[in-house]
Amino acid sequence: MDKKVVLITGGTRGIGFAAAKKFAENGCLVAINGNNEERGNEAVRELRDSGYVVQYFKADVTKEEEVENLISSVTEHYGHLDVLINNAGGLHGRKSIEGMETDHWNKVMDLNLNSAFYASRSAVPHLKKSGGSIINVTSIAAYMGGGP
Amino acid sequence: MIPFGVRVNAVSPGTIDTDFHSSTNRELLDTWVKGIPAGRLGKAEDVANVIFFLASPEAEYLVGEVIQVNGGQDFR
Repeated sequence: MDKKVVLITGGTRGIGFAAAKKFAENGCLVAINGNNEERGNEAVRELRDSGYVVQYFKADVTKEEEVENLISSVTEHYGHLDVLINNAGGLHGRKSIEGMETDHWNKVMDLNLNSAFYASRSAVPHLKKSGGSIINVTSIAAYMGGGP
Repeated sequence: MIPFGVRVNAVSPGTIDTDFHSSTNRELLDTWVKGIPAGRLGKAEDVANVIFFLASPEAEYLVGEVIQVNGGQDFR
């Protein structure tokens, strides 16, 4: 995995950040995406303090154009892309179906599903060249409704 | 994606103790833990380890797989 370029959406905290650390520890060149610049810079600081190669790329993964620019920026910065981790996701709060507004549903779909589509579509031409891979982070919630 | 030379897999985390659950009722989480064979909530590293494996050459023969990382929470 040495020198592989890895992009992790939602990589500034939680599972995404842990994944960024794991890849960095193993010699990968890591691109952390998140929409909160403060968190992004903090994440980068922590990993660089350990001597790892990492860069923060701000983008709202629910916006097609921002995701396209994200992939361009990463490949421009590192020269290529080997791995895309579609990790960005969230609930925007828990609601029962009866109490869920269409707007909330759409926001959740944008963040969890559309983001992966936008990122994969933009990344595939680069991943074809490098013979790379995509890992989608889904959830037990797909099977169990995420609990109350 | 394989005809294009891009290998795609997925990882499906269970209940992982991160900021994602910062506003989840703690008593509820404790109840869930009772039903998890592994006896604890997941750590971010538990999932990161599997993501790393899936991206590595060691996972070359996994295509279109979904790996559950949930301590057996959905085990029947």
